[in-house]
Amino acid sequence: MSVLPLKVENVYKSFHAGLFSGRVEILHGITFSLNPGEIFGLLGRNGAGKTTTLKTIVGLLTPDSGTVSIFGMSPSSVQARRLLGFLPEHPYFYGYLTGREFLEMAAALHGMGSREASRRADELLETVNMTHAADKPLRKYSKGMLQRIGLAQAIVGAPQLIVLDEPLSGLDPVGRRELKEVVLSLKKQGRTVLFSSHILPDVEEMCDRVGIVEQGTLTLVESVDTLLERGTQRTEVELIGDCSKLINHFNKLSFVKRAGATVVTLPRDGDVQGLIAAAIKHGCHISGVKPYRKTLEELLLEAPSGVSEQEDASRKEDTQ
Amino acid sequence: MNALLAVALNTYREAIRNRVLYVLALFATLLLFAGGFLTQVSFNHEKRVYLDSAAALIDLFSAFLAMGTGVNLIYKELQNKTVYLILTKPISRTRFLAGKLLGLWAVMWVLTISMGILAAGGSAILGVGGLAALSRQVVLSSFQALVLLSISLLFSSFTTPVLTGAFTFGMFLIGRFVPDLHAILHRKFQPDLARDTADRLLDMLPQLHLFAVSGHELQGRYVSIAADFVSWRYVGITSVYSLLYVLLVMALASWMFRRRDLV
Ligand SMILES: Nc1ncnc2c1ncn2[C@@H]1O[C@H](COP(=O)(O)OP(=O)(O)O)[C@@H](O)[C@H]1O
Ligand SMILES: [Mg+2]
Repeated sequence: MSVLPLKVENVYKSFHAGLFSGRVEILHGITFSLNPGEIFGLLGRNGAGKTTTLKTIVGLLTPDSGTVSIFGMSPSSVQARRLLGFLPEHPYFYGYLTGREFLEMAAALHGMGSREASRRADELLETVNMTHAADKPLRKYSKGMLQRIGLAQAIVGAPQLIVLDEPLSGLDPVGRRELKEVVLSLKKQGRTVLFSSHILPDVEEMCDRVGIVEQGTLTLVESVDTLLERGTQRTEVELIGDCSKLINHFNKLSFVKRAGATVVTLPRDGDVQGLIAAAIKHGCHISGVKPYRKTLEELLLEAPSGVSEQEDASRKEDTQ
Repeated sequence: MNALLAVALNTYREAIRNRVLYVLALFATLLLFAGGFLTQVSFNHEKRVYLDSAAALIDLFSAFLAMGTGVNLIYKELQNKTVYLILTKPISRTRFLAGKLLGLWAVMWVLTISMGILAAGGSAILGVGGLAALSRQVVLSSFQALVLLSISLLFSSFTTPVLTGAFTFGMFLIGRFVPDLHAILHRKFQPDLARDTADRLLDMLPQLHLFAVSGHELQGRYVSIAADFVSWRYVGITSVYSLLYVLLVMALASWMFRRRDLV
């Protein structure tokens, strides 16, 4: 039996609120695990505890109680970190190093000799499309460029588990597309990816499963397919021509005129086949059949403890 | 390359690419200023004054540079969160600290040796000699820097940069005046348990007075860099003392740092 890439069990974490005040509990018993080769998205509004969860997973923070294991090992062990790659939120870099030097150092930290390290650095610069700026100091990089170098350093040691904190923020659409491609290619190589995000369309596109963090609790873990399937609500069929007979026949359905066509909306479990067969029989032309599926974003916003309107607005801004 | 060496190399690069040259320029200017001033001083005193001030400059500069870079670099590493990138890689926190210390110490060697060369140049121009004594001072100062670096690492491993700066400087001051403090204790207090404890405590602090001997009494002998300076044997023993002391300090630092949350 193989060990899971990541197992988080009942993790509690608190911080000192101030010099003279007590501790504030931020994580209240987080439990989840990742299967080999899956992409898992951790979602939640700002301040929900995503970063704290990820930092505990990668061993920067020690949980008050509960355990984290990476392939069965504690994240504080060097062995576990050989299998781990991490991209922090707003990563900071040594401004005086060039992109290449930084990646060489990252490779050396994975125990590579200097020749191997420089070969690996070149390879990664290629992967993240940064070869042109390889010899510029990092302090002259733009945010998007740094994010790419950040991704490159996260995968320098060919890790089996890659943890990315808000990897898509700060990237332009091209950068996002490229990052998604890198992540999907990691999945193809059988790597496991955990990332946090608040940009839902991207999550929908990439993830196998998502987990929702709210105020330090994981409120939902679900496969994206299941979520979206639950969100398939209705099917619209658009007809042209004289449909009066059809309308009479299906008097329980609502038909509306729209842009010269007649549109009928069937509920989630409606008989689409039957309607189409009847339409043909009654001499209507079918100009379109469109299933309506809620996006992940709509589904999550609908959840009873969903995101507030104000957050929603800021999220839309971010997404644009 | 070893992960520890990678950290050391990176730390060295950071310090070297940042401020070393400015410091050296400042030192050279000071030295030249001193030299220019000295030409006004009567010839008999020139040798002693020149070598004394060169030794004092090397000693104090290296001490302040060690405290400055030690506190500053660790502070930046934690504050800028570059540690997030390093400590999630397969390197233990102990090795990370050791790499930092080694890198910083390498910088300090470069600095003290450069200062030594500048001082020797001045001495050659003035024809005052003292090269062997100057090189012994360089080695002593480099080891003093090592002790101070380890102390700044120790405090950085569990407290804030401001407190680290204050504590490290405090240790420096006390460490330089241990013999005087012993003397004061013995003059002012009767021998009792409290005084003995205070004596023991003082002995446990870094004995930094061992590194700045010129112009002081040492085992009943007046030591001067210009006339009768310490031997290489003394330098060797003092260096071994600092290595052992640093090992202890680093063990403690590593024990604290392993427990620290990197927020
Ligand atoms: N070092 C810290 N000390 C005190 N509170 C913290 C600390 N880090 C995070 N928090 C608090 O924990 C909560 C969760 O933060 P975080 O994990 O960064 O959320 P997210 O990444 O989901 O936006 C926030 O309320 C934040 O203010
Ligand atoms: Mg966050």
